[in-house]
Amino acid sequence: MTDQGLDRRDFLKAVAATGAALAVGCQKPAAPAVTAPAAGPAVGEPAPPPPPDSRPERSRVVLVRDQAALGPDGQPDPAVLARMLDDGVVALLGAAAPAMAWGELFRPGEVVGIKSNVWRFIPVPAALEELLRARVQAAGVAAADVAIDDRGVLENPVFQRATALLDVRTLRTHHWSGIGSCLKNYIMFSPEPSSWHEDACADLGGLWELPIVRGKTRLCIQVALTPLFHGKGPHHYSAEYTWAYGGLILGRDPVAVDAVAVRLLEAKRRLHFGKDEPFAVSPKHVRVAQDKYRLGWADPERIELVKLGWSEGALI
Amino acid sequence: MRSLAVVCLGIILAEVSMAAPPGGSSCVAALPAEAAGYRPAGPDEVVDRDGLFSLIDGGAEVYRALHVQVVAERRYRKPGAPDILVDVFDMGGSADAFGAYHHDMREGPSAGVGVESERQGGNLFFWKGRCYVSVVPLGVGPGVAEAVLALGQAVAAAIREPGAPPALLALLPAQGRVASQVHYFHDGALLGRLVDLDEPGFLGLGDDTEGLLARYRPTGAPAPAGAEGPALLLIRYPALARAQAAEQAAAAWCQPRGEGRPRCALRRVGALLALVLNAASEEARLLLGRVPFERGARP
Repeated sequence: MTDQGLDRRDFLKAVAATGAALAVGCQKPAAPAVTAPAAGPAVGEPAPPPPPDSRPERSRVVLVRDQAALGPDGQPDPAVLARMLDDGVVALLGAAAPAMAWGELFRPGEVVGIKSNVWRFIPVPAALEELLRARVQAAGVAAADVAIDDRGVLENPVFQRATALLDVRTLRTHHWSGIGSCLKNYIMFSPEPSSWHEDACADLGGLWELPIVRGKTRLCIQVALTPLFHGKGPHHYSAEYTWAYGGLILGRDPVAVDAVAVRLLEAKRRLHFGKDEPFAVSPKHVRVAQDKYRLGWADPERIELVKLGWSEGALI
Repeated sequence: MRSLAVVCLGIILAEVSMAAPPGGSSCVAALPAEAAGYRPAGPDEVVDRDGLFSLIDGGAEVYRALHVQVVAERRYRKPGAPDILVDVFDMGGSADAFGAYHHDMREGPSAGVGVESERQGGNLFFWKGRCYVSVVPLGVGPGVAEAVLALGQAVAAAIREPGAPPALLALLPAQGRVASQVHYFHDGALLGRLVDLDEPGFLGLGDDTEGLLARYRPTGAPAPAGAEGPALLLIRYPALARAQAAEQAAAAWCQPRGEGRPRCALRRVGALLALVLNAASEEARLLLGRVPFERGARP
């Protein structure tokens, strides 16, 4: 196992896989829509030559934590969350102030879809969703041009005409894909979500070439306030397998954000189980998104991890 | 003519055994009105196999592949305590209830509930009869573990017939078997989640086949996880011709790639096909030799 949770067989299988891929990611500016599969990739098609690699040398990821992120009742504190969020984007973009950072991400006249996640056991906190909405609007985007949605994105008129996306989800292990990743959060942009489940969801990177998605994502956030590090059964949830981490992981490269998230869950599992405990399902799709779809970087040496705030128990 | 009638009767009986009983699912009916001071917080959510995607996120295919018929979820509440979710899966038969339970590795301690059960991370899982049951508290706190157990026990007590595991289970050699890693399946999609066969289509699996995948400890090694030991795949086909075709395809698949060792060893007797993966030749031969084919060779 590497620290990405992938073994050599996974890697070989990934690079040998077939199917078209175009490089898109959080770093890329908006691009014209191209024809892309609406469902999972077809098997047996000849592999076209890989696209030119336009990724930067390294991707920056910010981990910001605050011990006070969760109140005594276990609910997120909106004021603390706001500070974490602003500190995070400032560090991510190297901006002088939060307003400048948000203004760099979203501009007046844009239409912004905030792709959230409503998984009932650990949803994205409503307080965080509303903070994101407020920050996008403060950057000059009209209120009517911002929407927050998860399972209804394909029918949502704002998402249908969106020029920019913000990808936010909670961090957890996942029954089908190893981890619930920012990459996977876009599965609801497919009319047939289950068609991406093959081979541990290896090809989730392909979602990012769907016309409704391609080139639009400006920010990816893994909400690690109370991550889930292990699960079993039909709901893959146990309150005892969550912990108060008080963190947000932010980046413009979804692969890098997810790779850091994998490392965090691996570290927590090692701590809890007292040994390297492989995920029940390999999160290989993160590596495949790097190697096949060239969406960003999963290799640790390609990721610049900036850590802010509470350091005790950071694990990574 | 008489044999045809017997076959038809057999088919009818098989279908009856798969259908929900009159008056609704006996699994759903087993949900208690109260246990340990917990009462229903609202109406049940009841879905059929097509509605399962709305109830569980990410794992519906597993239960659909095991012929789930109806699932009901009841949220129990007690003032001042975390809610507890109880999900009952009517799998249509006890073999598939066994399969639903054993889809996950079962390494946690038994709770002594139902035919087999596991406590894991505060949750309780068990199967009994045609029912697979999950009890999940939405928080931690004093008395929660006891309430989870009480709810599970109440459901189990209301399921009258214990049911039986798949008949194929009796054909798995016991020596060296990792008890937590025995998985039941029908089709290739589910098998593909359990073991890496590149593309399990060559085995000709479908809703009408049944199989078990069992992990074994490496010969002579101490016995922890068993993950690196051999895996025995046992498949029963409904017709001899399909078993023969699968044997041919499997024999081709088992051939070594390059100079490596064969990818598997296999043996077929009648409609029963066995493959041993991840094992040296001698180890595979010994494992295949312990399978009592004669007891399961008939379609």
